[in-house]
Amino acid sequence: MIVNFDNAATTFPKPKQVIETVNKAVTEYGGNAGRGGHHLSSKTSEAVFTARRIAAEFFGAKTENTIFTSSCTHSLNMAILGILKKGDHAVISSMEHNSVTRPITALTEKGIITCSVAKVEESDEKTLENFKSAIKSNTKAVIMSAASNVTGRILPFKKVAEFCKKRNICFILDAAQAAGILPVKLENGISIICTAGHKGIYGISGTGILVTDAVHIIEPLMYGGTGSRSSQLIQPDFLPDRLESGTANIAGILSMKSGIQFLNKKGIENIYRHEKRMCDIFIEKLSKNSNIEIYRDENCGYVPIVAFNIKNIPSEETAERLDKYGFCLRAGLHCAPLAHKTINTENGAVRFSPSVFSKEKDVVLLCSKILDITKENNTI
Amino acid sequence: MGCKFDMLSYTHAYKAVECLKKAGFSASVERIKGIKNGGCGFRISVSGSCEKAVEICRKNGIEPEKIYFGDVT
Repeated sequence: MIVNFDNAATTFPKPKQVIETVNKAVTEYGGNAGRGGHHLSSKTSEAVFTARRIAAEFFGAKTENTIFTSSCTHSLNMAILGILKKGDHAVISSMEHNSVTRPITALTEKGIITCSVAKVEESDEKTLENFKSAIKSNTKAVIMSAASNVTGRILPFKKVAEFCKKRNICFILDAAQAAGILPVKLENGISIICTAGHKGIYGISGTGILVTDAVHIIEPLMYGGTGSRSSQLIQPDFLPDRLESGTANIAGILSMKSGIQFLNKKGIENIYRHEKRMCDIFIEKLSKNSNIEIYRDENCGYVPIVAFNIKNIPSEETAERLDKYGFCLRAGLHCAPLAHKTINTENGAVRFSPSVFSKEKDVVLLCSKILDITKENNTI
Repeated sequence: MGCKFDMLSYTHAYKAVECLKKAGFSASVERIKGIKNGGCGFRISVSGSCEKAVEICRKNGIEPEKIYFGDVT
């Protein structure tokens, strides 16, 4: 038995329709989208267009402003490196993933930009104040996660985005842990949304999306063939081509379309409710044990992720022991050292993250194994 | 009598066709032949009122690059 409770890393299993779509993609959509006039290419082009339209509708964007990428990291790098210029200032939250902190650090170390980190507090109001205090006259962009990939804490991104809108600051949202769980739309000050295709959207790995309101112009990260204006040696200046060079991941794109259709049919509020229930059961079973630390604040809202530790056991050891029972959970820093520093878990934590396919009986069994490990550890 | 519109890319071409079909037009995407128009490109072929078709495209945020009335190769 292998049970995936590391869906925050990537969701598995995938919906049946996604699997069927991927199979169909590699057997029937053999053309290169937008690269020829023949039957194979046209069929593939039309399928990719439909996927783009469905993704655009899901995020409240225009079709042509919806860009397919290879991951949320790719989308974030595209947005961050494409928006920020020499002399700009950026603000990020203290809970950001390395897909935000690393490109930002790279730019600051090269002396291209300066950056401030706004501390995420227990109170959303205090967090908002920290963002407001961090803004400077040359602040070009604020980059913020919708929800932490470590604790699941929903950050006050809507309020921060509204604040940014009033100051014409580009607000870039990392929706990796929110897309497919919370309604995330390009509205009310959110300028750009970056997300993974393979997490809450249930597409296959190697996929991501960036949607933009196209108010803040994104310089291309990559230049190359787009299947448009080919006689010109310069990159097209219109979307989506400007930001999509090279052959697209057709199977990946079609898998995202299928995943979004799955979400639309199920209803993301129902998915959230199911996954939240898994987390509630998990917390209920473990919270009374004084040797288990759960990193949650009852005053905050969360997407269905729970970070925890068994006291006196390194998180990696806990995860390793659970893996032996067939339960897959991720331990360590989750590529988010800033977040761990913020919640004082600089030695790491174990992360429980269910999916729409998670079963209550598996959560109950997982908890009993965690309690067994806790008991064994305390009798040593 | 129809018309053809050169579009920026296949994305814009398919979006235009979708909008036009919703409005009751018959429209399809084809590849632009030759490189005289700037290289690889896509064109849509529309049957019906060209002025109305252009209006619908523009209303949906799609600006044809070039408009040809009647047949064109």
